Amino acid sequence: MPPFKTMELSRYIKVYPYEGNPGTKIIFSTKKSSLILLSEDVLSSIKKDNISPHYINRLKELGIIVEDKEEEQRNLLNFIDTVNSNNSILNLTVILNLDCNFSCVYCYEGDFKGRLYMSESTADLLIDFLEVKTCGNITSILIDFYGGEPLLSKELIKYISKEIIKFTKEKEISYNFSLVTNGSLFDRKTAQELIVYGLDTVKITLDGPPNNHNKYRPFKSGAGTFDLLLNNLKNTCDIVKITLGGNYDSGNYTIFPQLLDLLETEGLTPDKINIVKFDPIINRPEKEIMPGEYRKGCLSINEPWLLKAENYLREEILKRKYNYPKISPTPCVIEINDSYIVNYDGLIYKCPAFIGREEFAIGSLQTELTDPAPVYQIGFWKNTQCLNCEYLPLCFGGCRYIAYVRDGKIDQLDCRKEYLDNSLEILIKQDLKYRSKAPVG
Amino acid sequence: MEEKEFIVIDEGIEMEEVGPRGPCCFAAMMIVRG
Repeated sequence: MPPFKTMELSRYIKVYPYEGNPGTKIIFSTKKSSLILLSEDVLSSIKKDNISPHYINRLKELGIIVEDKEEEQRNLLNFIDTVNSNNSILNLTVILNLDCNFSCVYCYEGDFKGRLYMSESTADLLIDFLEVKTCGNITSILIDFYGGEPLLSKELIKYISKEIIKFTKEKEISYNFSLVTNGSLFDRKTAQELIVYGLDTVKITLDGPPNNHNKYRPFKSGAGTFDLLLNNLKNTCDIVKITLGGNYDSGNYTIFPQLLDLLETEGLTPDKINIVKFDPIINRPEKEIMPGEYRKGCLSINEPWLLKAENYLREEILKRKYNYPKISPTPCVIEINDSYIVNYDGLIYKCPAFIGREEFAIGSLQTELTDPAPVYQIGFWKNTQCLNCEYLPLCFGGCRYIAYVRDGKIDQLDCRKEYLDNSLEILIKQDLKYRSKAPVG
Repeated sequence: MEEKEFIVIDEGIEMEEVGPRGPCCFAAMMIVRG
């Protein structure tokens, strides 16, 4: 008879060897994102259902053991429903225009771009929409202003924010916004001006060191943008939170650490930048790429070079003590009920990557919204293959946009098992090395 | 005893902390824009 209630290892954990101590294992819960070092003796006692009562509650809290694996699986089916019922943030991504002063070689908005701007009357409808949606348990509104280049619509940002502040004050809820900007117009004066209206975070992209960045993200005239962006970052990093991105491909990722060194030399040290994260460029759908256009990006997370690149760049970022997002459950924005993408013309989507593809619009600011489930295959991960996969909480079926780029439709999974089989152990060991005080061999 | 057999490196997150920010597709958007 077991000494205490029957317990078993969670379905959603990974066990890895720990070179720091051969008698110890690394255990990571994909559901809880907890990370522990456990002796092989204790692990073996769990497997034999002979675990000491001393450990039971703690291991349960950490998501390592469960009373019933079948029940755990059933609970995971409701995971996103629970996230939705707990959520108190109304999150909108607002595409203010599809115009841009840059000419990035890989821009996915491609043919959709032009001198297309959200009008003041559409902005009024947006404000009405937000006011109606601010109900139930919503306690804050968060807007990501996006484009094109959102700062080409700076006055509209101020107008929208001013109106939101009016009604949120009455309802006693908070309002903040972020900018996803190319950074060229984000000088200190602009930052100071927008902070008053709720600006909190700015995402700016530098594609590696100057030569590479200027080739990939030039002004429309062809002139380089790196020096201007670096200057703007230095002049604003003390008053807004900066998220620094960078987009790489198989041919240039190895030179990205040069950017990190340059940032440090220029005084943009880890304490000045909230997050640094480099990501691979995803190609546009094959049928939409014109001859001669950029196609060096990836079509799938399972491309072998990508694994090498991500591990390498993450290590280089952590090594220099810049902050990198933690590995944790990541439900897709499409499945979050209180999250919407509003295009400049008032059409509403559930994912920013699909804007301009009207078959993915779920309505507009002027119409009732339709059920997004059939259009976006909501819950497409609720199948035996995914539910039995230990990576489900980190993946939830993957990215619909990548499936769309690959297949031209989104009814199939973007399965990340192969990628996570090959990468998660390395990523977890990087966290152990750089984010904990555990001895590493 | 516990320190040797069982070391918590990261407590992980509570369900309440799993929010709409930072999902993979949103990251995908960030990949191609900036």
